Amino acid sequence: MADVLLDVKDLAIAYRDAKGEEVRLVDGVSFQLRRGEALGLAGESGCGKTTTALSLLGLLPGNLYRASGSIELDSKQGIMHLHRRTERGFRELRWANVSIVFQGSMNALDPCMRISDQMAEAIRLHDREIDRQGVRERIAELFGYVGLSVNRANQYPHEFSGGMRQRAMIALALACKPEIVIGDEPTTALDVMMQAQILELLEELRRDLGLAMLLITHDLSVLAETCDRVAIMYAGQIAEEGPIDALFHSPQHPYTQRLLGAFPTVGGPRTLAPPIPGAPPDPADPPSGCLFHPRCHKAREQCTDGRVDMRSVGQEHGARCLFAPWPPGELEPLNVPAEATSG
Amino acid sequence: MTAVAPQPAGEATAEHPLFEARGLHVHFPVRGKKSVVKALDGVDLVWNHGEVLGIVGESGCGKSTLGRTLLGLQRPTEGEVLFDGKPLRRGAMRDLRKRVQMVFQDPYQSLNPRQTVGRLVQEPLVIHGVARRGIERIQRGVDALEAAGLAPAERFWERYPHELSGGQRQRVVIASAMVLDPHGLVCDEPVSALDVSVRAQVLQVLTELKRERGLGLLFITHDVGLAWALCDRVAVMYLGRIVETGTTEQVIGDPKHPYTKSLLSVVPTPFPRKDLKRTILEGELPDASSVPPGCRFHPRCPMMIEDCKAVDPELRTPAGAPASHLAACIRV
Repeated sequence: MADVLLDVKDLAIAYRDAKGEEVRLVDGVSFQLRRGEALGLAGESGCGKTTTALSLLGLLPGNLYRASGSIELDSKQGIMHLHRRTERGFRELRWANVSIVFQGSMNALDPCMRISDQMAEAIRLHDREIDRQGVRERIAELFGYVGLSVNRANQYPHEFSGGMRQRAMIALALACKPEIVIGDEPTTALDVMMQAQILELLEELRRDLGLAMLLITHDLSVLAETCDRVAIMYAGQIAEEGPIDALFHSPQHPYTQRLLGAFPTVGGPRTLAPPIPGAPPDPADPPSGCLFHPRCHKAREQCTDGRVDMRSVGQEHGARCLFAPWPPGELEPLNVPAEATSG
Repeated sequence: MTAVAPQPAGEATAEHPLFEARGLHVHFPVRGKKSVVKALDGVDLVWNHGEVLGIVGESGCGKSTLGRTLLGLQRPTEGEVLFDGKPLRRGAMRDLRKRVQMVFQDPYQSLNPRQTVGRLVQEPLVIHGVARRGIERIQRGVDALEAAGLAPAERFWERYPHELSGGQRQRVVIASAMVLDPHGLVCDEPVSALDVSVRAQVLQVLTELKRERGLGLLFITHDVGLAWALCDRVAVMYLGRIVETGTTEQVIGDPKHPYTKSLLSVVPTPFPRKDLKRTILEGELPDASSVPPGCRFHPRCPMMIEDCKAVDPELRTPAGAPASHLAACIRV
């Protein structure tokens, strides 16, 4: 498996509550990211997708810790065991190996610093030998990648529009030639047209620079055109994982099916799919058995008890459901448009 | 003192549309400059009783201003709004509010944090002097909460907004809007701030209210998929003007205006459309204080010809399309 770049095994992230009990926000999460691949991590807020991503960068908030599991990165400097790294160790790999683009680019950029200075800072931090000319050339190159005019490099963040700031953020994330770029809702704050521009940019960069990408979003529809594979998270676990086509066209977890149903598609049926009742469970008091069973329209007696493991349901396609694989027709996606839409 | 006798929902007068906008302009002066921002720049619109009308467009296209202007929250610079066939007058606002309510995007900002759910839903009744007896008010409040999917209402009655989730808050907003039994609800991005599964729950509440009470909805959204699933008719806005309108099947199913086509082609969907070529528009929405001459879309239009720079196109039926389908483009 030489092409596996990032290997996360059985990751659990937890905090201790007032009584000193361990509460797991992420539990038993395993996934692999290959070189040049785009993996989508999707789910509702609070499902643990951002927590998982932050743990890859050693950026977990102070009260959270890794309770179990391992994270291995097959980096350009050799295998790195991220789960053994200290803060100092993480500092070396942030930006240089793994970088992140956040949702609110206005908050992620320093408002008092010129964009070029912020970039120069990141470049110098990881390349002590580089001279001024080198920095200037690198900034010009990065601005070129993201389609910004170099003339604006010396401006401040407030002089940029939302879309341009997000482009600057992406340029900054690329400053130290990382192997993995994590996008945490990178387009959520943007307008549709700008979202399309940014997604296209990410796609181009991935292709041209051979980046691997982990795209975190609550919006499943964003993933269809940008990712190769998707992992759907629910209540701190991966509920279903698979290639995008297989997962969207024949979901094997009732949660995936209903979640997809929440995105009506032009050309599909002009009705709303039935909503998922209730709300995700409290991590401090998870239900027994399958975590999704209290909200599941397919739940049966067996679901209320015992642990549910990931089952293989096809080529690289797994679902954490007792009844997977489902017989054809049982979990039909709810809003596929008729193929023969007249053009 | 009500000049117009309020009518119960459902049996509204059929001869007039619920709302009609004629040549609506809303211009905002820019401080320190001579120019004005043209938020609305000549909008004609008909919103019928019991109809779900979708207003679709990018942010900054004027769709929220349109909703606010219809409700009299914003005075038009030019043009007029007819409510049930009569022009909006300042004195008639109270009657209007009683019959048309609004649901905003952010349920965190539209509820008074210091009032309980019970008080919040009763407040419109108090303001409008409807259901003067306490017991009757409580009953109507309970009914409205339960119709909005907060059942049993007792469980929520004494709670404060901060004790509720986003979806529950938005349902409290809907319940307080519905407690007066209005004819119409203006929903400005009602689910954009909500999580995926909660979104579907709130949308279901809205569609049930529409079906059971004949409620008209003005659905302001940038989400074309939602408009497709919910709306009877759709108007697409660009820079303060409607560029295409018609039934949902016409506008979204068979778009004619190049802007609509482009907008539809870039909206992400789990199942990408094969009949539309993905056309991402370059640049950003122009500043509404300097609307381009001629067709306002021409600088970004992939189909632009020389004439587009000079002619400001009017809404007309494209060749071969049904009469109810209108697009403002000289090339269709």
